[in-house]
Amino acid sequence: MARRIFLVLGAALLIAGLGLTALAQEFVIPENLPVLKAPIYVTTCGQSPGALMVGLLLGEVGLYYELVDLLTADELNSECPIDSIKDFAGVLFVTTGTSLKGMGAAGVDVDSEVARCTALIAAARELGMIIIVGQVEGASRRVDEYDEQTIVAMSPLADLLITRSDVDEDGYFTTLAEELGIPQIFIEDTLDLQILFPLIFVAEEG
Amino acid sequence: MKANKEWIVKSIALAVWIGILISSGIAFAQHRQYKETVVLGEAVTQVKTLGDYFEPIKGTTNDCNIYILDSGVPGGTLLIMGAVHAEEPATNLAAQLIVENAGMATGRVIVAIHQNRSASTVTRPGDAYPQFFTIDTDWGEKKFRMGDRWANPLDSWPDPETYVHYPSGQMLAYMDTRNMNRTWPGRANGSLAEKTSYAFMRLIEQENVSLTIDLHEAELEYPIIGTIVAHQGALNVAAMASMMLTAQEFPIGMEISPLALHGLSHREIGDYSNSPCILLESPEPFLDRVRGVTDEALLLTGQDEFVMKAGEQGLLYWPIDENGWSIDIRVARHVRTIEKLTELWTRFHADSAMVFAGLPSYDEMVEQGVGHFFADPDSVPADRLAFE
Repeated sequence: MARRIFLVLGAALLIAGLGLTALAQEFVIPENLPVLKAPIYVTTCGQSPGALMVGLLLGEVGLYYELVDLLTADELNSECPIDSIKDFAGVLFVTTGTSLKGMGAAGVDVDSEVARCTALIAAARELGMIIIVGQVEGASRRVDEYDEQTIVAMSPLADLLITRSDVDEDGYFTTLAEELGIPQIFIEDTLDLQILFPLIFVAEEG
Repeated sequence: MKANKEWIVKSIALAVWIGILISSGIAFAQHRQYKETVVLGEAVTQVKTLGDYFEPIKGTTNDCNIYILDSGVPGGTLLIMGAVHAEEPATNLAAQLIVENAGMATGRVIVAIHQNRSASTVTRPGDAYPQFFTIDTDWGEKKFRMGDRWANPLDSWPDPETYVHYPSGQMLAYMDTRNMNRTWPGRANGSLAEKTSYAFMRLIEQENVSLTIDLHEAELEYPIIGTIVAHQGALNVAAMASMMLTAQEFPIGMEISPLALHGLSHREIGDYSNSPCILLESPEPFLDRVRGVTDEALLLTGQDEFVMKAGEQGLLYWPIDENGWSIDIRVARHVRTIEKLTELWTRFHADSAMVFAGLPSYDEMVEQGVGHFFADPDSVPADRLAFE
């Protein structure tokens, strides 16, 4: 508990340092929130910068993370010695929404991205990891069929949804979470994550 | 009698043709030779030209002014490049606003208002582009050249069948040999745009530039709009700027520069120098293919019912309503994003800090209009004027 308070305090200082005191955001934290702890593996389904932003903000609040844009199931398995799954179990954070520039540069397309991340989530679940699916970049990453494809493929697989409220105008995320019983946290802005992360991640005792 | 009639008709046709030729020739010449006036702000310590960094550019159309604002306090050096595409006027206006208004507390800023000056000496008559536009100021109207995406064929001709980018060998459209955002890192003996890019690379090298910012505007039909495109060397700065500006001031996205897409500033400058490059895009409805009347009003207000209709049909990547996207907002977005990027650059790179002082706020630029921030050339001595 002491460590958790420390993290929150650290985030508050950081936010003040960035001149973001006006950003204080009240989140509705669901009661069925899974236990979230590092290591946190972050990847992007669609090669948009959302994963980079998540990683940046995890780092800002002092949480250990690995950002791998094209993380595969095999790579994740190789990270985990089979005899220490219990110690390893952490979080896989998959961001949705696509970047045509990003996918083109990486030599992938939306179908291969969905296939990679579906297999990755299955592997993570085998390892006992918690799956967060985040649409953290807002409406600008829900404008075309590619964005929709990653959102529709990934979101139902989540143990926790973190969603920018401006992408839920049609109620898709609300309905999905209710129907599947997935806890969901809405954020107003991507930057809210740096206030949210210390509230939902349990840091290892030092 | 019949022969006489034919002769008369032909003579009239010839006279009309000559008349059109002369009047359009005069209009083209007036546009090409028009000089925009720049009032040097108090922070401007030196004005060089691009040719000072690469002799073969000296005296050419693209020997543009290079404004240096030096705080005298050691720190980093920021290079701001406006109007690589001279049909994107918020870019040179933002650059000029910085030259006329910015103070520097730490480090240096180097500004090129017309990065590809040749492109500002030609428009697209076939697309009905206006040749000039004027901005209302506190002391009267200030006139600027409207330009084109590509360097003037008068300065760079002929185009190749296919433009092969140097050094990647990537094949691009023929006219992109005149598009300065396809010619980085440039070539000493290439086309004018390639030589200009090469000269800027020498500037970046010789001035030890820490960060380069390349200003652009885009049509709302284009997916890379209202955004920051960043080289891998500046991802943290760009991502944090995108998040902070979106949360606090105005929405702006972020894209990561693709590794395999060559010739672009945000790719090649960072790869071929010690300066990562960030490209900024603001929304310019004037450039949309589905626009209505293409005139100065559209350029300045960004209001267009046809573009709005395209938005209603879900054909755009950026929102638009009856308020459009005015030149004041577009300039303010650029200036404020530059300032935010420098704040964050300084946070992440304390050893090459760059701190502005005295730049107007976003709200001030939008509410008072950008013209308010252009000084009256008659109010300063002649040695504090420069011409673009």
